[in-house]
Amino acid sequence: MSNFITLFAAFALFVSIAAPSYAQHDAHSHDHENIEIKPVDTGNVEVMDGEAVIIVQGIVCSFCSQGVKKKLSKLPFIDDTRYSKGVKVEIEIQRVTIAIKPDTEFDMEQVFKSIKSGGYEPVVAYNKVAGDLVTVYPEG
Amino acid sequence: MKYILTALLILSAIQIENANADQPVMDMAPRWEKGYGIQIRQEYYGSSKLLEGNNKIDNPLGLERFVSKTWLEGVYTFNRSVRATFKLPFVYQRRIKNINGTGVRQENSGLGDLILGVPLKHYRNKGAYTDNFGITPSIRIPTGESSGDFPISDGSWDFGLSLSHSLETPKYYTSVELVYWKNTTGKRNMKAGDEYGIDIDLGYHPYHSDITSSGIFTMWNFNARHNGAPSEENLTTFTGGELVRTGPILVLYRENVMFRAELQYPIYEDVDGISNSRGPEVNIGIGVAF
Repeated sequence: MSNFITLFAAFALFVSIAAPSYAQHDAHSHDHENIEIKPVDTGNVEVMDGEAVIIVQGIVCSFCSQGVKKKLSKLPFIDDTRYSKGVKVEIEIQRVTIAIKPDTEFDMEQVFKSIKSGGYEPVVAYNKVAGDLVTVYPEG
Repeated sequence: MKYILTALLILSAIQIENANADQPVMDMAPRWEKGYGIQIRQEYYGSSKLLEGNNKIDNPLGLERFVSKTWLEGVYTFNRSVRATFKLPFVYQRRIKNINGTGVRQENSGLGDLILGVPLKHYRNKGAYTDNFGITPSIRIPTGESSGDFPISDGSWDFGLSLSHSLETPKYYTSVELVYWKNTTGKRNMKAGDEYGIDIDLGYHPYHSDITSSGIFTMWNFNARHNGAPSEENLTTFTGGELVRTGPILVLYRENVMFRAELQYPIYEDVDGISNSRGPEVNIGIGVAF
């Protein structure tokens, strides 16, 4: 039993050291690259016509984010002829870009819902309405 | 789909085992609602090295033990916090056992014990990292055959519990898990000793393409196990003891398909009494998540 307690203590120690240090490492590296995730720097976000850009917390793994792609690509207003089924995920900057079909009714709330269903939290989204950049925050 | 079929065909032609929790599909994905995944994993370990305690001793009878398992594993994700998993091995095992001073070859093959688990995870998504704390109760159902000189299963219902934490950034990955198995007495009064241990993975992500959703992970694994002594009637396992292993892991992924190859080499073994070393272990798995 003493061995087990030792293992548990090692586990707790490792987590307490590793989790914050890795997180800080990446936060710092992004600072160096002038890319901030939170608070969002809107000056770094470029939104093309017919697209929306969503900043998503923690989307750092392509394989894990397949669900986000899957859920988003099923939305009726996604143009699945562009990117990968209409969705591009950039894990280095935690950014999801979606291609929107022209002349369809775009619903950002459905986009947020799909990302949450895919296992992640959207922070903020940008799209263009009549040529103007619009910022949308998820409810809650 | 052609990649999946090709890989499954290749893997089905190989023989290999493992019960680590940090597996290609099970831990990393699917984390989305109503997602599911399946994988085939081959594991192989064994040795003709004979140990007494932690000392290598002469082996004039050529005693050895080799085990090969082909695992079919699946996962269903209700939501990212609640999943259900199954693992079912097909086992081939052979050994040369000391019976009255003579080395006698024995072998057996067949379906092994079914393992069901319910991983419960608490996720935190914070900017450029995601991490989760997990607790996984498991049960091992004696679906394997427990007859013969070298039975596949001891016929017991066993209960497992693991505590885990994993953290991932675009470049780094860490995973730590504590595992415990309570092994009960099965058929023919066989009973494997209880098992507990720790697994640690440290990973680096050297390459990724957003365009093709493909990339490479490299990891290094450390794991330690303590196995309690089995009952004297136990015919399936070694004598118990302590084992520390380490080795590299290579992960390749493309969209929803992940391939993983793993080598573990024992750096410390202390067996109870006299037993074969567990030997180096190879794991090759491919998983797909939908």
